[in-house]
Amino acid sequence: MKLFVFVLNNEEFLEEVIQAYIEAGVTGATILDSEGMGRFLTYEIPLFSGFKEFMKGNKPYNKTILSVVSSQKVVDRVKKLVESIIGPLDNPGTGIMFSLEIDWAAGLIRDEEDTL
Amino acid sequence: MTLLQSKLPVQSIHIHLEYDSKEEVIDRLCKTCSVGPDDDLFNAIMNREKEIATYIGDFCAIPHAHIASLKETVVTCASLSRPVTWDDIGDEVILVFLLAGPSANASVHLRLLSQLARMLHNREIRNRLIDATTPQEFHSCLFSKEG
Repeated sequence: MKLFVFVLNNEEFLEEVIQAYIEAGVTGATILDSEGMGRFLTYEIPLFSGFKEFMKGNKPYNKTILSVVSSQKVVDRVKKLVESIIGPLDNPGTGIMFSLEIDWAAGLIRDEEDTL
Repeated sequence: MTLLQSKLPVQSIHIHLEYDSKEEVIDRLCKTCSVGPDDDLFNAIMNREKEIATYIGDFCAIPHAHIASLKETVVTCASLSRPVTWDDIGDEVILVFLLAGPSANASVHLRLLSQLARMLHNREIRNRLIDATTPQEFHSCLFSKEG
């Protein structure tokens, strides 16, 4: 099992991204409203207001999607589908995706039928 | 040696300068920076000040600006023998750290600005800097307590 985290920079793609999750076999996720450090720094701390120019192209607010997935295979499927929607994650300003191994979890509902 | 230490040699520290205005202080510090003559650092700094003053509280200010032709960030600083008014609401400043960073890359500039702001919020460091009577003493105060 893995904790799969995706920070989606452009919120406009959220619906399509969630559909991609479902298609890839991720049946549950938690979606958090989030904010980039750059926006907070330059708009909320007056000392750093002169750095707004360096934040151009970055979205002020984003979505962080947390999900627990069964295997690397699911991660790969989600990544491929998500990149078909938002473009390669190597492109600046698209998002950040990573996973971590989970050694224990409770409360997860397994879909016995959906193992492929 | 930390990043700030590498950017702020003793020669860049000025003790107990006597000026009557913020503009005079900034002008003096700009002239001590090794920024090319074609770059109007003073105007860049003052334009940034007009946006919102760089007073950070407790008699400290960190004026700064980005300069297109700069290759690396430069830092200079001063303590003032008498406070000068820094902003529209009358906040007064005794410690001034001036930074100029390259327009193309803000990362070092940002790190230095953050480090200075954090250090200057430490009352003990601040008081020792204000009381320092030589650049060497100021330098020691700054870096003996640096975290």
